[in-house]
Amino acid sequence: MREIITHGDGWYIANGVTLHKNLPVTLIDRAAKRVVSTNSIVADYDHLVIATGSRPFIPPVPGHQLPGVITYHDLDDVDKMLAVAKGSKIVVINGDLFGLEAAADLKMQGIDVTALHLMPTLMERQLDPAAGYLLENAFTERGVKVITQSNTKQVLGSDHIEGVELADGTVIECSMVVMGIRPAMALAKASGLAVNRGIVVDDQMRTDDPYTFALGECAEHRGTCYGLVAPLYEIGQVLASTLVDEAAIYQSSMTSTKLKVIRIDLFLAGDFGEGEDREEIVLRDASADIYKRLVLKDDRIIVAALCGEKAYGP
Amino acid sequence: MAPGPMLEHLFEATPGRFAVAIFNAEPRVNYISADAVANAVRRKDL
Repeated sequence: MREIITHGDGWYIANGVTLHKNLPVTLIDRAAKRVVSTNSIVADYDHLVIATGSRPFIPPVPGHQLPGVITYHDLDDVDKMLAVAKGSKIVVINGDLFGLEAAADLKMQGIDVTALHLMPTLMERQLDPAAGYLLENAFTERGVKVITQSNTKQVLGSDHIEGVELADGTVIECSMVVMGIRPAMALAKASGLAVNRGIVVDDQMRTDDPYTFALGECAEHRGTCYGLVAPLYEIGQVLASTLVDEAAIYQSSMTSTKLKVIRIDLFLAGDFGEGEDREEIVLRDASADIYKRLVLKDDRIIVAALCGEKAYGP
Repeated sequence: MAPGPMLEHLFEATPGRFAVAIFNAEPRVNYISADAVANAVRRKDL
C-alpha cells in the first residue's frame, strides 16, 4: 500500500542505464572489481552500490509455508493484502515500526487486526516501557488488538490458515499472517564486507571497502537500519556527491520517522544506538497521553522521541 | 527502488560521466517507498 511506481523503463533508457531485470547478482569479486549474475553475465565496475533491500523474515514455525503467510515486502504482498475482504482477520507478527505501520494500514482497510510482539513493550529499541505502553494503548483504543510477550508456536491450518497458536496456548483465529522483513545482506556478507544488523556504512554510505557502497533497506548507518522509511532522497544526494568526489556527509541526527496512521502521533529522530556518555530527559504525562524523551550527548540533543505530542515535531 | 534518487542526483550533476549498469533480482526495478516520494515532493515544494 505504501509502494508507488516511479521511474519507468524509459527513464533508465534515456539516461543510458544498462538494465538487467530478473537477474540477481550471485558473486561480488572485490579483488577483480567485478560482479557475476545468475546466468553468468559479468560486469566490471569502478564503484559498486549495493541496494539489495530487505528479504522476508519468516520464522520456521510449523505452518509457516501455508498460503496466506506473507510479508509486508513488495507489490505482490500488497496486492494480496488488498484482496482480503473487509472484516477478515489478519495477524501481524512483529510490533516494530514496520509491523505497526502494516497493522495500522490494514485496520484502515477495515480488517480485524491483531499485532503480536515478542518483547514486553512495543518498539522497545526506541521507546522506554512507559511510552511503549502508551503506544500500545493508542493502538488498542483504535481497534488494533496488541499482544506483547507473544511467542508464536505455530500457524494453524491444513491447506489454508485457520489461526495462530502462541506458546502459552492462546489461539488467535485469522485467515492471513503478515510477517516481517530483515535487511538482505547475504551477498555482502559472502563477499566479506562488514555486516551487523545490516551492511555497515559510514556517513558517505561507504562500506569497509572503499569502492563499495550500500543504501536503502539493506544498509546500517550509525547503528540504525532505516527499513522502509529510509530517507532515500538525502542519502542519494550524499552518495551521488561522494561518487563525483564532492564532500558530503549524511548525518542521521535530523532523520525523523512519523507514524501518523490512525491518528497516533509518533515522532522519532536521531541515533537510537547505545552509549554510556548519553544523558536522558523524559517527560511523561499519562493523563494527556503525552511522552517526550530527549537524549543528550556533549550538551547536544541527539535523539528525540515524541508520542502523542504534535506541537514540537517538524 | 532505493538507488533511484541517487541516480537522479548523479545524472543531474554529471550527465554522461558514469556508465551505469543495474542488476535487479526482481522483474520490477521502478518502485520506491511512499516516504521517499513524499520527501521528493517536499523538496520540490521548497
